[in-house]
Amino acid sequence: MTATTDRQPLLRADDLTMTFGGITAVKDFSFHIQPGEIVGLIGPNGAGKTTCFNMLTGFYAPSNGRVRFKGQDITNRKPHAIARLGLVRSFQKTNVMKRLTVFENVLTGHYMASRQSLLATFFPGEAVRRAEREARESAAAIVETMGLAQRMNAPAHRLSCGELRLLEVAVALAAKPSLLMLDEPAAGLNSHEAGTFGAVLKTLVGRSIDALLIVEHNMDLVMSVSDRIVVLNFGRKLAEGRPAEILENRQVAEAYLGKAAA
Amino acid sequence: MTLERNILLALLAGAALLPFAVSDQYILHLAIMALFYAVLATSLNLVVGYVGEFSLGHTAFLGTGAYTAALLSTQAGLPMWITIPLAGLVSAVFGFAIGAITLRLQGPYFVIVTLSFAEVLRIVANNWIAVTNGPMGLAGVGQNLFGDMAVTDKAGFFLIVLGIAAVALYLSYRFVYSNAGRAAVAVRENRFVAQSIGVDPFGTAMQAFVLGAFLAGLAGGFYAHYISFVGPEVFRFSFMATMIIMVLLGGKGTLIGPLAGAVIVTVLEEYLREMQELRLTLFGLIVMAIVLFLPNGLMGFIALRREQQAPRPTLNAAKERTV
Repeated sequence: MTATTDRQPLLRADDLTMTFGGITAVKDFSFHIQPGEIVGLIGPNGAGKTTCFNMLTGFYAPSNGRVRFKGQDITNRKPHAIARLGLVRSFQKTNVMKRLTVFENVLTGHYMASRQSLLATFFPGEAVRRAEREARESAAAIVETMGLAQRMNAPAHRLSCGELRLLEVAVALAAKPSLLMLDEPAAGLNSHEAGTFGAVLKTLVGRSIDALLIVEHNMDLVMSVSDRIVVLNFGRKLAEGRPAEILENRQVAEAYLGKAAA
Repeated sequence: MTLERNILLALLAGAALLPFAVSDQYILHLAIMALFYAVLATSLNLVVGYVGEFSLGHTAFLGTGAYTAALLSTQAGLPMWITIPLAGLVSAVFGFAIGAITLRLQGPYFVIVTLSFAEVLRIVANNWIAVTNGPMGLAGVGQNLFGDMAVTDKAGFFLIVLGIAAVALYLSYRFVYSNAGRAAVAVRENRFVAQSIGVDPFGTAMQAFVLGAFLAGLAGGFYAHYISFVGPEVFRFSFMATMIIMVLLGGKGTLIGPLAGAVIVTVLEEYLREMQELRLTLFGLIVMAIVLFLPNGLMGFIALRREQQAPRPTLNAAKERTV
């Protein structure tokens, strides 16, 4: 990690603040993600992790602060415009297209790669057909990578909770992001599934994506995949460091478990 | 996808033979109306099935198309091959303007605002007497296809409306199975996912909405020439109700569904003509039955049956039960 700190960060958030009426959900939160990194964002329930996600991806307009992605200021841009720059997220509450099959979900995820003019939509030429073929091949490959090959043609509403989580990541990967942000991707997975999932995540960085930001409550998973961890508590950054440092951090333990009796 | 395309091609080819096989003017009239409604239902389906919002104002585009064609014909004496495409284009422009306002809304707000646009246009047609001739309507719309060459029989009109239906189905087919169509489905199914994979929900909905308006305008233009008269009642709700029944009965979000719905409802409407007073009541009951028992229409029902009959791997079935 030390070798990469002097490079320009892929994502940089400065002093992000989000207030809803009188409630401050996130206050002066700054952090960055370097290319090649897996960053874990953790914190007790209600710490502001998902609010952060929403500010970074344009679903919320931050009350204050700036977000820079690949050197561009993306504060206040629309979610789809941010996605087109290569910042793609998943959602805490599982969000897939329930009535479509696994394959159709992932194929739809290729939207950006297959965008075409209106004329080409109605009178498709060779280029459109090629893009369509490539999207289909890539969709099949992604379904395979995520271990869903057997469920390729199953409608999403028939998947198990764990499979849905994998599908959600597959759809996000189909958008070919450079920074993938996953919001509690392992929620509902058993420990074996979570272990497999973590192994899959590790293989992605450097191959399919440049960097990964993951919000997760499953500590085994976060600690094993992350290069660096940022801890949020009551909307503020409590700590930041390597997994081993965070595990030993007294303040972090207090935030999760409460103060030890004196 | 290919199955749907092949069925559509077979249907079109079969329909093209109809005027040569049937000379009964009454049956040809029914076939013409069925195809006219098929175009309308297809266009409404693009909004209901692919934007995912329920428009009650689709008659705005039917009426705009009808008045455009009628005015171009009665004022400028233009033939059908010019007036009908122009009717579609003018409707598309209206679609863009109305969509720019209504597509920012969702759910009941969208329903009510689209309905009010159709109503506003009806009031304009009723009162702007200098242009629309008010409640008297525009009579004597020409029936010439090219220059002075007039269409004199039902067979001719049948082939024209069949051509329009073919165009409507081709454009819809291309749209639905394109990347843009998939994006529209993504917005319909899950707006958040759509945005996170780079789909602009507003722009995508606009494409489907304008295409729907264009096709409804074509249908309206044809209607003006076929009936040879256009009055403010083209904006009335009864057209809307018919279109909705067709789309719901056939199955929204499919291409064959609205087509099947149009044929069934047109025939049924004739069959129930005897019970004039009870007709709308019966239709109301039919719609309720569809919504309760066939929420995805006939096509949804057929798809479900096929899915149930297909053999399923037992391992997966067992897995599903345990979860």
